[in-house]
Amino acid sequence: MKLTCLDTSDGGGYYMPASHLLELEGLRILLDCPIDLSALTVFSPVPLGAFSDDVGDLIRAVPYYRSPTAVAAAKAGGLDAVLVSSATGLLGLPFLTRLPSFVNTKVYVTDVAASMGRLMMTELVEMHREFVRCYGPDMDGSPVWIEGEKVKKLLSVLQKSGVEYDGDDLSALLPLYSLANIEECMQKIQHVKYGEENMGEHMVDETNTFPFSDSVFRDVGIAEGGNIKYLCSNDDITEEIERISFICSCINDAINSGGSVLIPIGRFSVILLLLEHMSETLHSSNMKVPIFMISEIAEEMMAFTNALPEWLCKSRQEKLFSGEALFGHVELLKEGKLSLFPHLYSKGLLAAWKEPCIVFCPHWSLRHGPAVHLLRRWRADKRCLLVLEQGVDAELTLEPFMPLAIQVLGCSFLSGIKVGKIDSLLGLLKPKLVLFPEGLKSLCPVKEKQPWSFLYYSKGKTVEVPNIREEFEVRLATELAFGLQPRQLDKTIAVAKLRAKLLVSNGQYMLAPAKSQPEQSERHLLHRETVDPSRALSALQEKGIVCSSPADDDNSAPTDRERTISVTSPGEALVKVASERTTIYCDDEKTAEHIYDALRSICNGI
Amino acid sequence: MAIECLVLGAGQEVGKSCVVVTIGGKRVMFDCGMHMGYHDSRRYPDFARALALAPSAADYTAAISCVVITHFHLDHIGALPYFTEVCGYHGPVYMTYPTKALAPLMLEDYRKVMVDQRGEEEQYSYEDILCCMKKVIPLDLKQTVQVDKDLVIRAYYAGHVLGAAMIYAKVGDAAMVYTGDYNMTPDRHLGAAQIDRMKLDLLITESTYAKTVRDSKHAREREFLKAVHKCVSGGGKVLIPTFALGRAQELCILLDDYWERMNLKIPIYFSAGLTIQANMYYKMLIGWTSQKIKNSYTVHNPFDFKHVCHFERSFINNPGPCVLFATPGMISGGFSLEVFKKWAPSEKNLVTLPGYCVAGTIGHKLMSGKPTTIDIDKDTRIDVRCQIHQLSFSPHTDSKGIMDLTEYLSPNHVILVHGEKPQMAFLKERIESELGMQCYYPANNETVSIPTTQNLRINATEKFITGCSSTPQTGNNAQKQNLGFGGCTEARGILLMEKSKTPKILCEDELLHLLGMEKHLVHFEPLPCSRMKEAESTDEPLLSSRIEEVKQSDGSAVQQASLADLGCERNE
Repeated sequence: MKLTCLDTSDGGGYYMPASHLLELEGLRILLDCPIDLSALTVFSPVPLGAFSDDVGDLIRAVPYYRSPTAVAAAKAGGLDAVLVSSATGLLGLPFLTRLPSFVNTKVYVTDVAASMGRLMMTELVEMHREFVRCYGPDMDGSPVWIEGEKVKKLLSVLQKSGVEYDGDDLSALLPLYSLANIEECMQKIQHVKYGEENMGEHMVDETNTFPFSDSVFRDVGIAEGGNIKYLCSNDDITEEIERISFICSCINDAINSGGSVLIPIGRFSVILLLLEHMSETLHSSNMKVPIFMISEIAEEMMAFTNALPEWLCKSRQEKLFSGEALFGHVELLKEGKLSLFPHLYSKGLLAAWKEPCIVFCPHWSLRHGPAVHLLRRWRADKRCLLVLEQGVDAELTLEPFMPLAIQVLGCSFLSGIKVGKIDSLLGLLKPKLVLFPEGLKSLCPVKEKQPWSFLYYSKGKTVEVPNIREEFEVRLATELAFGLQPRQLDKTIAVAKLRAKLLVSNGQYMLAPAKSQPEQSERHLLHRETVDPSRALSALQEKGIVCSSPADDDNSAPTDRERTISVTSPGEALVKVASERTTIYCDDEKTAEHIYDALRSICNGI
Repeated sequence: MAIECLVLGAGQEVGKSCVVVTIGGKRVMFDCGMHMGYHDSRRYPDFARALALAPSAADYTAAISCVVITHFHLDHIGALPYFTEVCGYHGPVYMTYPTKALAPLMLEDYRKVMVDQRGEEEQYSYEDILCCMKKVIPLDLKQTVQVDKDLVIRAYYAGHVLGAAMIYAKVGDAAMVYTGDYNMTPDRHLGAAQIDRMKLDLLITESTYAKTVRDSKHAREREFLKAVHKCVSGGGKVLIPTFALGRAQELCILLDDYWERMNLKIPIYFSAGLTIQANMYYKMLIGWTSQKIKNSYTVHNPFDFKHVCHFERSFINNPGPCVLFATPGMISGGFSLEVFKKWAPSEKNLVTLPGYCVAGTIGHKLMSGKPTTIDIDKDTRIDVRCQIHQLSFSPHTDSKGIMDLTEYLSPNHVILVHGEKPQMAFLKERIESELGMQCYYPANNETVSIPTTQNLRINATEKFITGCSSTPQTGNNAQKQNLGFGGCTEARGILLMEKSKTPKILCEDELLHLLGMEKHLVHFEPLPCSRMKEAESTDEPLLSSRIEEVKQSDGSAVQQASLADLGCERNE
């Protein structure tokens, strides 16, 4: 087994999870396929007029995106399967599914990750259209800016995110996929349910890898919708809630001072929690302020998040069982406190628009989506508030909007597993071997008496994983076992020839009886004792076969010389026996079988 | 090993579904229903017999490993609060998310009917229902649940009603499926049943329509709509007695859609606040409806009924046409009976009945012949002049569907439950003659014992496994993937049994290497007469053999030639 780390999640965090290539027994399996949006920051948001914005040295063109490393991997050796663990791990997949070599690749994604991923990709493509509308559609060949000076800046940004380029090689930059590509990608996906065991016919080895990645969504990984994770102690939850409450109080202050609030955060779980808490704080302070959510997918996403009880934590599930909505936004929508619009220019938004207000809208990169326009509107107002997620390069992100008077609140949220929880996770899983990122080695030092050992990997390198298992457990159907003809070789060992069908069912091997015995013109005996041709005649006679050997008068011949025996009863046959091979000439199957049995007895063979 | 199958309910009848299956020392109770036709002790399964299966067990919790409920209909869940709260079973109870969410509504609605209106002694209280539901562990479809070390269960989509599931259970190598009620064709809001193909020893299937084959559903739906439309346009009232959930939503979608298309303004009422509440649940459980609804619910949620409004008790005597959904179904009491008493005497009115009514209910009486009077009790007699329309579409599979599912799953044995005896006998004959499977249809409280296949657990070398899984896999990948089993290739190897070691399967050349054995080729040829003579005359080898000789000086060196030899043999 080999593991290659294609991308780490350093810096990208929630929006760009790590991506790995696993090779086992000739199968190539891609784990997660995120999209890298870091290149976007080098492009200028769509300008209001031709010279209205001083965008510095940002590129004014339809953005290109970094090709997922997985594309190169897919082109190099093809892929047999892709396992996706979260919605963000799906966003780069349309780049792959349009490759001709992808036709037979299987993609496994949980129900929820697939639906959310589709919505996120749709949103991305819709926002990207803004650029196309502004600059016109892509012409053939590379875009003009590729020759310009600006390319250097783009490259330096990309290099920061760990991409290595040879000179001016920009082949790693791609135009964004289209809605048709997304559709094509969704068609490929095989949906996986919570706790489902899914074994494609390829997945015959190392089956234990797969249930793990399937259940990761709820138990270990980044869970959507404010999910309480299995390993999450209450402390983590409290911390997260405190963070949300703090943001709510900041929002409250801004509104009180007469300013509006812009929240371009892409995490649905955070949006849902913020909505719930905000409605509480606003309610308790008796403020009537409209909340808008402006996104192509707002309506679908809000309906969808109220329809996935199976994937939520226990306390949310209890809401289902007592007939309450799963999240607070359902009530907000019903009361008219929260309004959803697909676009800034949507009919109805203008009528409903009132400032101060709170707006949730994409995109966190501040390069496209309604957030760009609203930030331009409010950037000079120091009463207003922009809630940004930390981790994105704030300076570069905000560059086209300088100078800023608006207050900026940078927040960080929990994504993935905390370092302190790694040990307890491993204690739960009890692996023999752990593959761990080299860069985080110091965070999780090897302790004595740990039953597992570590192998370290780093980006772009391939790690050979030793095969721990030598033997496999197989189930043998009793009816098959009864049909075996074992032969005792010595006091402790017996062997039997086995012909069966090997089935794989739910990750278990099963040997069932094979269908009819095919006619064989050639067989072989396996034996330990030597085959002595001189004993052949007597062995046949012992079995009641009437036979004679025309040449057996020559007793002086070496014993391993080939003997010819002609058989007259029970049927006619001619047998040529040498020490390494025998030929039986016979028209009657039964007689041939009889002779074969006799031969077996000479050498105690099977 | 055997699977022991004790039928406590729905044996040669419909009502109080309950089967206790003992499999590899584990005991699973499938469904825990009540019989709506009885008001005495016969309404519940005879649980004491389940306890008697385990003589050493002190109570139900020790005797039963787990209870699995397939769906929220009362004949499948109605006795559960009684079993957990009164009989004292405290072990795990499994049901799907929608069933867990919706079951309390059904149970409470019917409890009220029994206690408040029929004045019966309370069998369990509202608190009992809540306590009981707290013990329930929710299941998602296809989620594999390890109940304990040995017992595995898994739910599959069954159609029928929201959240209905077929249950797969496995202990060791013995595996079975209990279907509950299912539908093999999609309806207005649910998809068709879906299950993986698996190796099964036993299939326990419902057989409500063991002998009926149904044609197109659309024609039957039109028939229903036509009857309703005709009645209301003649100024009549339509009574649709139904349970709060399931059929009610199906018919509501149908009517609401029709009202929209025909631009009708006549009110459609729902008796209790139940649909309004139920719709809230249905919206959260969209994932369990049909693909069509799942694709479009964000734009138009079919459970937002435009024309359906709430019914006040005082409306009963209002003049003018209307359509009313009233609980409970089958007119077994409660509000639907109250309305029936008022509306039945007018020939302008219409009562629609489901395709199946349990014996002992008024619905059943109306369906058997066309009575002109019905005795509700010894003091009340009602003239029945209204029209009766029997719905001919049903959320149950028809006999073709049962045969299709049985053939698809190919179990070794089949047990029929949830049907009527003569039809079951007919279906048994078909299954045995057409599919060649043993089939049984035990009566209540009878036990059927099924032998199971058993597998030996042995080890195999990696070479053996990869050797047979990598050979002829190309070509029909797509076809294989549709089967529950993965690769299915012929394997040849050697079983090696050594004293005090687990038996092991290895490749031939591995054995040669391990034990220092040699290979002796045996070639079979036809015997031409000329050869006989030739043999007598000369000592020369007869033919320049086609056999490739494998020379081995000793067992330690496995040579390339022998590998090639193995390879070519496999391709024979």
